[in-house]
Amino acid sequence: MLLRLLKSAFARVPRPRAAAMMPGGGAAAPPAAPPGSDSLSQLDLLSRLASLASGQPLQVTGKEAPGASRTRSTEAELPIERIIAHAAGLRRARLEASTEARVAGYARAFAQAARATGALNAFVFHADLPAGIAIDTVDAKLVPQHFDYLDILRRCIERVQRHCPGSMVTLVTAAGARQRALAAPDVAVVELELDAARPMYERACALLAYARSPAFSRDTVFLDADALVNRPLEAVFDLDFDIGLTYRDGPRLMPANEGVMFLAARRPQAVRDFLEARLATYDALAADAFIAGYYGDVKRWRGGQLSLNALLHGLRPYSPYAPRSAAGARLRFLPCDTFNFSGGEGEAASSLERLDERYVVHFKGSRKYAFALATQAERAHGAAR
Amino acid sequence: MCGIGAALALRDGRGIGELRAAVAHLARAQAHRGPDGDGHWDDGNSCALSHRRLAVLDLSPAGAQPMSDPSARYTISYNGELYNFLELRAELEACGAAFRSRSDTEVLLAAWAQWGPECLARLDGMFAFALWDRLEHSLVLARDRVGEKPLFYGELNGMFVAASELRALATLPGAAPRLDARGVFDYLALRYVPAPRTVLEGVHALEPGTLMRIAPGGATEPRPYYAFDRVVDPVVPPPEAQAEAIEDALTRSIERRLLSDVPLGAFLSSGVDSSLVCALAARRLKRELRTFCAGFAGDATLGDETVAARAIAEALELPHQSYRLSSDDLLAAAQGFGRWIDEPNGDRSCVPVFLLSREMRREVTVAVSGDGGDELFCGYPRYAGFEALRRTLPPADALEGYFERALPVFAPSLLKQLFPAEYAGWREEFLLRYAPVALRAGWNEAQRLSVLDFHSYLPGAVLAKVDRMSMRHALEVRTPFLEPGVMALAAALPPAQCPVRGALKPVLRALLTRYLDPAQLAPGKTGFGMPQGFMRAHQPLFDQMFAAACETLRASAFFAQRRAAFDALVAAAPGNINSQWALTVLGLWVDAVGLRP
Repeated sequence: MLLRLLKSAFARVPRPRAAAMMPGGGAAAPPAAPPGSDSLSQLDLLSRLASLASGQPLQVTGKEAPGASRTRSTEAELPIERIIAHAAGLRRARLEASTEARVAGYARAFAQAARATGALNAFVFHADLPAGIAIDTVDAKLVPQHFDYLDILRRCIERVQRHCPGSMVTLVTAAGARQRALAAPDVAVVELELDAARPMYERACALLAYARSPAFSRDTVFLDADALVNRPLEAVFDLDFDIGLTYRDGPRLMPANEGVMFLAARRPQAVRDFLEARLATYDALAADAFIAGYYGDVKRWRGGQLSLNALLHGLRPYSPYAPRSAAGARLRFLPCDTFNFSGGEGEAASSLERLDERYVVHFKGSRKYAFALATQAERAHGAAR
Repeated sequence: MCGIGAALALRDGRGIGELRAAVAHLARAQAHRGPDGDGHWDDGNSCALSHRRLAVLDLSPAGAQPMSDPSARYTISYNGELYNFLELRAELEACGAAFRSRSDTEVLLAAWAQWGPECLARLDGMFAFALWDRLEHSLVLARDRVGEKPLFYGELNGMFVAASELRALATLPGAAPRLDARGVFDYLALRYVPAPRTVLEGVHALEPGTLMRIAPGGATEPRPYYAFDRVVDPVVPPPEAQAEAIEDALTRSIERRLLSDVPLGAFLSSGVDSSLVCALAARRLKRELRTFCAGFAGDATLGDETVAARAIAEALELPHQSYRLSSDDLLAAAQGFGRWIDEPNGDRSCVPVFLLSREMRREVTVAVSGDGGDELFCGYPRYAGFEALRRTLPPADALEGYFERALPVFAPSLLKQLFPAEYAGWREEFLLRYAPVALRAGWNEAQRLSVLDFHSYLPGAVLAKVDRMSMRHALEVRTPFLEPGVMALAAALPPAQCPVRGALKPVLRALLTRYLDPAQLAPGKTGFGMPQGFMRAHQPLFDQMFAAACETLRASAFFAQRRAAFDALVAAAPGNINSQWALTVLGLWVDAVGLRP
């Protein structure tokens, strides 16, 4: 079961690609990989991720039994470029009134939670999906209830504090949620009256509200709950940008990943303008028939990343050595292989060697099973948290 | 290989007569780039193009430029070669295109008409072009992936103008060229000026791998279509498999680059890269290339590579000619350097490459070279030592430390004191731009810094030198390493195949041993640069040139306003042969372009 699951989860590890370039490049395509190439070992990847999560060497054998999960279907997928091009046509700069009101309300909660900090801030959002609701889009199928998000969040916060001492974590969740148990002097839990069935949209609203509030007084890393900080992040902010965005080159993936973003506090208004344009575009996507017909309710899933990519449309090929601008912000494109590593498709340096050099390791999709395996192992070794 | 010119009216009142006069000037000023044809075109209203042609493929008038497509929507002035134009032509014929010539220019025009800007990603070649779109009423500029062919642009009295050479733009009637403070700073720090900046205010270089569109209302921001970066293969194939793939790709690249209607040759130093190119041409492709090398006559201690190069050519059974450049040759050329160098380039190999190109042009029209091998396969020993810097310093500081220690021209710490404002700009636009290399995971120091070199040093110094020095004699140089497939494979090499120390470029060395005894390679390859020994042996003359150059610079309006800083530079230069030569070249160039007050 696990083997089948893992194969489906990691089946798209790419052959090496040397350079980002426009699609359709006949002459530009690299020649076939040399004989001897094979895909990355999925069990090896999961072993490394589980080891990273637990801090002790683990070897996944395939006999472990995580919960059941549906595999991803790719039959009905459209070319991602086509979807992003369509979404780019829906770009907006200013929020609708209802969204503006929602963000303004949230901003007050962040203002109350603002605390002085000597280092950087981390922004993490997680709201439990209501029972019976799963992620089921054309390109992603996941049952979040299979994962112990409280444990994942604990690990996420602990890694921020370990590698960025003195930092302040803002954990955003639904009012009255169990995540309030994670509050601590350097962890501000902000509870919002939000629609938990639409977590991606609420997250985008909350992030803009945070950026507009006094809480955004320091450089801030935005993290998916399943993204573990692996190195001190201060050096990333030395790269001079308003927003650092991570990207990959997989032909079937949205090139910019929403899960890790670096928001510099040097020019906060530029960050706010960008996030506002992103959220305004999000609203437009949610109201679009083509997008809704393809993805379903993008306010639940996919819309955050799609609106980000829509805003960036036309700036490809991304390069870390070519700063660009969009919606008033200076952007730096940072390759996922270094700054948001998952060992997945489109990451240039997918090698599992020198994992310690990755700034953030992201347990995307079914990689989250590594957390469960880490917990099992910790318990088995008497090291349960 | 050619010289292109373009002029577009940005404001009303710029008559077509002025545009025609501008492109005519650009053609005259670039005549050395194309002795085989002089073409002019305009739309009768707002755009004019010119072209100096060096005929290499399809020598007939059917290949003349500027060239329009059958619909007359697009007209192009194009400098370069497309090595995969036969494949593209077959694809386009399948789409219904018909061709009247055998030229790659016509294929490029048809490709643009068929696929638009996306066609650029299909091209294997070196090129720069200006293309007028009659329907959209806009001019498009584009440059090849790596920056083998140059393209400069600027605005002059309500006209947008573009040309293959900087000096052609600087000498346009009505132009009042002035040194650009940041451009000068970059030159002093690096020995070249990285695109998009140039040493002249208001004149820009289109960056490699980008295109831009200019309409009468103004220009859009240049847009990249290619971005080189290294990858690390998730599963490292055996070294033999990597070598096989690279050999095959490089052989295909050489084969494409040897397609020509004119005599062909090859640069052959005694190093790995050019030797491998010659070996594959000779042994895999059975081509009898004429090979050429330059050495330095006289003192045996001057780092001559001709003996080793001749032995390599003999082992490969290739005809070979070595030129022993005499002191008189070099000195005469060095003294005349300012007259024929297009933009300041402090590389000490410019003069020898100029002289070697002159000699080669008597025998061949096209030559292949090993350029790009060092940047792709991490061949520079200077990368060692970066590790400690990047572990302890913020990324931009680590890079600055690298330039301070490993690439001694004028030290950044000195320049920071002398030109604080320009230093701040250099740090922001150059060091910070490339700072991510210091953080990249899974790479070693050689892989990190070679990416910076690939983006900056290769096009700004190496390829600029090769293009300008060879084109001064209408010799076309082609670079097999800079083919997309070869670049992709090189970029995917794991750290172990890109060592920082010891025997560098092990993959290429391993390949070469299939055809040559490794002992035949020169142990301490120096390339074609004027040896320090040569320059020291003629110190009085180089001192004299330096003094004259300093006098020129001191009298220039630019340095007159920066007298104390300039005196500090002059005082610091004699201790460093690169600094002294760089300042000498700048002075010679300023004098020749006429930037004195």
